[in-house]
Amino acid sequence: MIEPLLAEMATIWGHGGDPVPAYVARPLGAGPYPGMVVIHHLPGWDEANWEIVRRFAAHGYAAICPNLHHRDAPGAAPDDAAAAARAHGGVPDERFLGDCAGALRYLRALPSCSGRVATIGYCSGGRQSFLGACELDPDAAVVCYGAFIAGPPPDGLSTMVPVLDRAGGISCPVLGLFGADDTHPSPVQVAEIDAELTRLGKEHEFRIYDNAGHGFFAVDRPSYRPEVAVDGWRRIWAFLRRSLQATGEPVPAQGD
Amino acid sequence: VCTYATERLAVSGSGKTAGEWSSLTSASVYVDHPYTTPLEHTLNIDLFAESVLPARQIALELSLESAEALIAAMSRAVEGARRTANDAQLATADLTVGDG
Repeated sequence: MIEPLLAEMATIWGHGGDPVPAYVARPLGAGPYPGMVVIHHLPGWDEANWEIVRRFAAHGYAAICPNLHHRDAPGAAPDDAAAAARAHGGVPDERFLGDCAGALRYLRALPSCSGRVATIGYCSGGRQSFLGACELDPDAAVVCYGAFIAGPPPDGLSTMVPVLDRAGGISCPVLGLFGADDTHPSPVQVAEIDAELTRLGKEHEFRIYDNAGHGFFAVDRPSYRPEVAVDGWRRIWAFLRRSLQATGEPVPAQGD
Repeated sequence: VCTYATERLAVSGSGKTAGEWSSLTSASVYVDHPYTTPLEHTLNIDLFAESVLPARQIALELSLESAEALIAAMSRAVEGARRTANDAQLATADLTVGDG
């Protein structure tokens, strides 16, 4: 049995004090539950990310995913907002940091939250999870194939500058999961990030999977790699168990 | 891969969606993960109706093979129209010379 969940839309106070819509899912018990900020990818604040939020809730986390594209198109559908964000050159880092800080504050203020909160991001969200670890105060950060942490930014998206030079500010453990067949980031770039974190003495665990490219966790895409994804989730639960004193297992219902 | 590389350009013309026509002013073109198509990558085209975003009017997610076929068809159509226009200009020039 898994404890009942509540999933709903909420409003957080993000960068500049702006109201930002967020998808929230959390166990209905008294807790204390650790928290997880899920950072969506550039293609949008979409169902795949909301599903990840519910997965964390099912595993005993208070989880949230703010709409990082909200200001680019207030009130628009998530796909239109993503198109507008892209046309604007991507999500500015300072705005992301303000919104992520708002999400961390929201979770820590929940009566059922233990106060220990991590971030996880995929793709562009992986870069942002890394950036949040550099500049904010999460208790752990998971980076899933985060592109452009190192290396030149992509054409037309000038906001996606490399952030590896900010790694000195990291104050929490970092888990990085990557594919050997990926080119954004390439294994060479992953090695560069790994080496820099080692040089700086930052606690981190990096894993590069063979026979996997970009997006191996995405169950609705041809890039999905079941064996890699299953191992990746196990590593995520184990990492969070260590970093947040979380169980990482489905929460039994009362009386079980 | 996840490139994020995005071309932005100004366009002029019109687009129709939900039964309404709008004047198109700009476009984004990129190969990246689609929002809804179950493929790894698609050629994505966002057509915007106003300089003030987010007035996206039309969105396309095309398989790369479809995109190449469409690009080739569009090129043939535009080149054909240009050839026709050039022929007409030459015909007009011949007529002018003949009149002289």
